[in-house]
Amino acid sequence: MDNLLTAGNSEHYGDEFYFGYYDIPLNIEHGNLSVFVDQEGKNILYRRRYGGETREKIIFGTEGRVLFNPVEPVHKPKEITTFFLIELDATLSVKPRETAEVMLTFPVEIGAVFFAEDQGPIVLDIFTLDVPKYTLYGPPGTGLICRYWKSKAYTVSPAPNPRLAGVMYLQIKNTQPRWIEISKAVFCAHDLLIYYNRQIVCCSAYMRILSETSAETGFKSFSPQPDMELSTKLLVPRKTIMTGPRCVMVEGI
Amino acid sequence: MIFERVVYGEVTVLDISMALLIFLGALLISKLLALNIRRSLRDRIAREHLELIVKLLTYAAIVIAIILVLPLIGVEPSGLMVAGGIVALAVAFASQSIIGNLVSGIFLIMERPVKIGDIVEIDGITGFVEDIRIISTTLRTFDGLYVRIPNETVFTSRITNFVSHQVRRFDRVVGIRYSDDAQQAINIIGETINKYPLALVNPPAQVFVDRLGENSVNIMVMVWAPTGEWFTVRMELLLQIKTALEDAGMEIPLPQRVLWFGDNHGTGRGKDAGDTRDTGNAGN
Repeated sequence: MDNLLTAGNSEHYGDEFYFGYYDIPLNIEHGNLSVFVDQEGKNILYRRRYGGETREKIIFGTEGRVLFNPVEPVHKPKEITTFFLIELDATLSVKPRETAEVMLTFPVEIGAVFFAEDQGPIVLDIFTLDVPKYTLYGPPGTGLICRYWKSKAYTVSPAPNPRLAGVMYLQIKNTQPRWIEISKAVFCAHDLLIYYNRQIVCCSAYMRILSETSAETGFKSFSPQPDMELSTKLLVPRKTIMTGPRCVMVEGI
Repeated sequence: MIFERVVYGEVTVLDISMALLIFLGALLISKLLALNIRRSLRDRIAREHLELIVKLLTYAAIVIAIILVLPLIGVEPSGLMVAGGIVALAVAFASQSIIGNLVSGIFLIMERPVKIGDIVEIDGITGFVEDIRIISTTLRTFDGLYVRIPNETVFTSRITNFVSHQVRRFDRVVGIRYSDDAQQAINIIGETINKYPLALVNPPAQVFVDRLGENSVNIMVMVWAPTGEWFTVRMELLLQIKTALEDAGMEIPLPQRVLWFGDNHGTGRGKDAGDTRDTGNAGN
């Protein structure tokens, strides 16, 4: 709650939209995005408009603050998968039995979460300022539907728009005695830990090459910059997700 | 020895002990079999169906054990076999369809070509699988009808499962006028597909001129979508394609026929018609 009290933006009326806590009333106009949150008596009215879509929510009998933070990129337009695939612009070649570190970008969506003074958080809204795309990893019969993202591989940290994408620090470990080429990576968003501040969104991941066509991927613990916050996880565990935090890519890398 | 003592006829204590042992052994085997079947099929079939299969197998094991022990206790089974055979024949004739459905049901449960909730076409009927019972399978058609199909029919019919795979493709022909730029139309359709979230990146969509029709240039649109969203994608994307083409001034042409009159034949050629021949200056 300390962060909640210190990081707020008192009565925010303006064009700038960044991740963090906001006091109510709140009115954001950022390009085509319009967010309005107001206290009506003891109730909270939330209204968001973007790209022809409107979302309204009323929370009865409470007071609190609104947090906008980056969340897992698998909610919009529908939760049809918990996996996301990053396709590389150019293939990466990793030396035999070597560990390489690269930076990629990964997609994020925006989660609006209401924090009441004495209650737990409640999700107001999830939206994206991007056009999400999906793809199939593997064959039609047994493949995996994934959120699709295309990224370059960077050796110095890129600076993507934090409202659209974050920076993924990816460690690639080649356990094979031969050169391996990588053109894509699939991750399960369940274990994605997203850190953010006003300027950047980031996460840390690994990819362990198991063979020329398979790899294990997952996310690592991460020491972010001191002013960074950990995002609220909005992905609800489901019975169908039994694969755990790690993802094993068996249909090519 | 006590085991050699005759109890009745030629049956000794040893025979009765053996009979008891065989019977108890059969009961033990049936229990182990039931445990194993319960464990292996627990996630595959409904509890009540599983219990029915277990009971059937238990009774079968008991019947086999009884037949095995009958000679040991001095009962000749051949006489019973003849009587039992006649009864079994009569029962089999009377209940052959039930037995057929039952056996088919067991095979369906094992093979699992359909699951509860799947969208399937069985014997020409399309709908959601509501339940797979031991004798019959029930469907709920798209217009809300309850249809019960005997398992024998399900087992012997061609089954189309629309949701068995992760992705499904839809194909649609979009016709444009001959006066429209086909390449521009292909680009517009491609952009519309790219902007639509649930039209998959891979397998890639294909858009191409498929046929030069009588009234239109037919553009084939093939788009892959997640199976669960297939119908939504089909509905929404086709409308978006139509709107995008109309916004670019392209119209879906109506069937039309060009009439040439004798005095000005060749000049009255319809602007949008599907005739690709060179007009020339024949009328002037």
